[in-house]
Amino acid sequence: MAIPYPVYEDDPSTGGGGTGGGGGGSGGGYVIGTTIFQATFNKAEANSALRILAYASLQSPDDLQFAGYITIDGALYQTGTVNIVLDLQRSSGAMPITLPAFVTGLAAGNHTIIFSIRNLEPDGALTVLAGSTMEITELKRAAV
Amino acid sequence: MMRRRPNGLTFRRDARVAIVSRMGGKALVMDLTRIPGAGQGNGWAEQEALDDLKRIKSYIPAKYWAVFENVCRFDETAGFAGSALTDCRNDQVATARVTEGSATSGITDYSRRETDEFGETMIVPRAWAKRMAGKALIRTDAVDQVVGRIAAVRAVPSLWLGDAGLDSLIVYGFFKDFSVEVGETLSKLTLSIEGFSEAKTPAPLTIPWENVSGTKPTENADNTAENTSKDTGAVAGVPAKQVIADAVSVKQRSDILENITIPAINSAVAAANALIRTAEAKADAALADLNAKLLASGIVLDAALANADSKLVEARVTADLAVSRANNRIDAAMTDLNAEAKTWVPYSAGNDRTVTASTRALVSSTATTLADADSAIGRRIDTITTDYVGRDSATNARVDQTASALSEGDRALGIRVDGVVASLATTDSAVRAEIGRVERTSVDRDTALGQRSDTITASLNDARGRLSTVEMAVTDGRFAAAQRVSNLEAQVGADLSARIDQRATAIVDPKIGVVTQSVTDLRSAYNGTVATVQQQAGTLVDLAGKATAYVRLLADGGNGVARLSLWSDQFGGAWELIGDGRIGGNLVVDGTITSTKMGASSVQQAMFLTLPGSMSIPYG
Repeated sequence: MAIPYPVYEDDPSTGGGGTGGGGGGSGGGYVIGTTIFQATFNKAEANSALRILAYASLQSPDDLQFAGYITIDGALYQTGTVNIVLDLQRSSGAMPITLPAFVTGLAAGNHTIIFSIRNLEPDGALTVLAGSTMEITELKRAAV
Repeated sequence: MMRRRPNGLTFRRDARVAIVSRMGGKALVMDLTRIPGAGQGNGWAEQEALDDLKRIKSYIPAKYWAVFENVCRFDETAGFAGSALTDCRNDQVATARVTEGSATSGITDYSRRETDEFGETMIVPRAWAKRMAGKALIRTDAVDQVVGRIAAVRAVPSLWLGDAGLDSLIVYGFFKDFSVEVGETLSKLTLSIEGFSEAKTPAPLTIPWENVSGTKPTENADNTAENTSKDTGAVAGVPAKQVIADAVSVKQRSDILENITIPAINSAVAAANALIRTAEAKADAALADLNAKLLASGIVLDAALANADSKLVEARVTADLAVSRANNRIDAAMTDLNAEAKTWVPYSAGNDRTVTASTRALVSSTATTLADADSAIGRRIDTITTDYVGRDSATNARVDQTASALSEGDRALGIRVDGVVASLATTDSAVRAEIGRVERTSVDRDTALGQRSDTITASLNDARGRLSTVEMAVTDGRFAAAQRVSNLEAQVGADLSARIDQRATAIVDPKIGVVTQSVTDLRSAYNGTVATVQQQAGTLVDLAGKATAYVRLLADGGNGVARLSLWSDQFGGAWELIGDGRIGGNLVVDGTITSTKMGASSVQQAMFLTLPGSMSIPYG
């Protein structure tokens, strides 16, 4: 069960839906930010489970305010929110984020999986460092 | 020094071979050196002895005197000579056998007594085994039978009784060798027996700890019940339980099935086949004798008729003779039933020529009988034959039945042969269809055989179809077997052939156990390329009471073998499948699946993505 989609008072997309920045995908009534990874995964059988593990190393010019999302075929399956306000004007906050998702009930066949991050820090762009990864694994019944 | 006894028979005390025979309560003592041909002596005394012998001989029935003379003059064993007193063969053999009953007995000691170069003698008591040798006189015409019986128990532990009253002449073991000195009517058998060792199993060697140097381990020794010592080379540190588990693994059990169980069953089947071949050979020999005697039947029958009153005196023979006479009359009557028709039929096949064809139809029925003191033979042959011989073709059809029977003192044979044949021969083809059946029963003192063989054949030049079935049952008293063998075969030329062989055998083998086996072989061959399928099933309960059952399917198309084996042994049920496989439905496994390799994506499939370069995410 995914953590509830975070809603902020200053969320520019609140109540709007529509597309997120940076070409990110959109879901019904929420913005998932910028797509970091997008993959099409061919699920072999219906009774299996998908395990998704997304990792990103992030740097901010000031505070660490962002949210990460894992969506499958447009549906949100996992979120992670960071809201760390630092004291300095240019605090240069940095941290990694790992989002896991364990999904059952998906039909066999192709599915589009997206890992995205939305920057909620108004004082500068959030940088996702090279080497960030995403793993998608179909766990068949013998492995579950 | 010569003396005259009151009865007139002279003897010399210092050169006497005394033979005492109680006849009418009177003892006879004679000097064999006085008998011509028995050594040098005084001529007058020899004449006296001969006169005495002639006189005494007149007192005694001729056949008893012959016994006396054979024993005294010609050194025949008493029993052998006495066997002539009876006309009954069994009594003759029993009487003759007595004189050769002097068995010898002894033991073989396996103990070691060795003296080394220092003069130290080492004595190691070991087992010992009885041995025995015996002789017996047997009828010469029974030599083959005796040799066969003894050969049948080669390498078979048997109880040999030299004399049931003497323990040293009762040996449980094997015969070492035997030989037969074949005589004209009686033969001498020499047999030596080696027994099993009589020693008890040696007690296990134990050494008290106080006699062992070094540190005594805790709990006296390594406890290997739970786990094998890690430095034990024999099991390389593998836990004992694992070693035991491996020992009963399917692979090892499969090896046992392939290398021990199935060969044992095959061995039993081979033994059954050998016994069948032996029984068949005996039946063939009996049939050959029957045919040989029938060939000479006219002479034999005439002689029997001419000399019936003087030569054949026993009631059985007389009865046989009466039957022969009756059968001769039947023969004459049957001959009248024979019919034959021939015709020459001219016909015109063209304007300028005339050809003829020959046809013939023959129905014959003949019966032949032969009986003498030793054997009775009957044969009946019914035949229907038709022939056509023309300019371009010849045809023949034949339906016949031959039934023969033979009875002798120690064997009997019955055989019936049915045949239906049709053939056509032209200048460029040969066509033939044939159905045959042979039913045969044969018995002798140690073998019984029943056999039925059916054959259907159709051929046209080099193409042929053939179906045959042979069913048989055989026993020698200890070994019993029943077998059905069938073959279906189709062949065109030398390169194309298809064949199905089926064999089912049930065996009781005293050396292996109780065995059943069925084998079906399918074989297709085309120009050297061969495809085969074999279905095999067998059950075995061996002499130790261990039971095994198996089924094996094998397919070989030349590029790899697929095999499925199912079996049940003392460890339980198991199966083994060789070759690529697929299960269309679900597979339920109650136990554990163990595999060192799984196919790609068998358990999971994964995708990994990595961000190649940093990226900037603006606010919002």
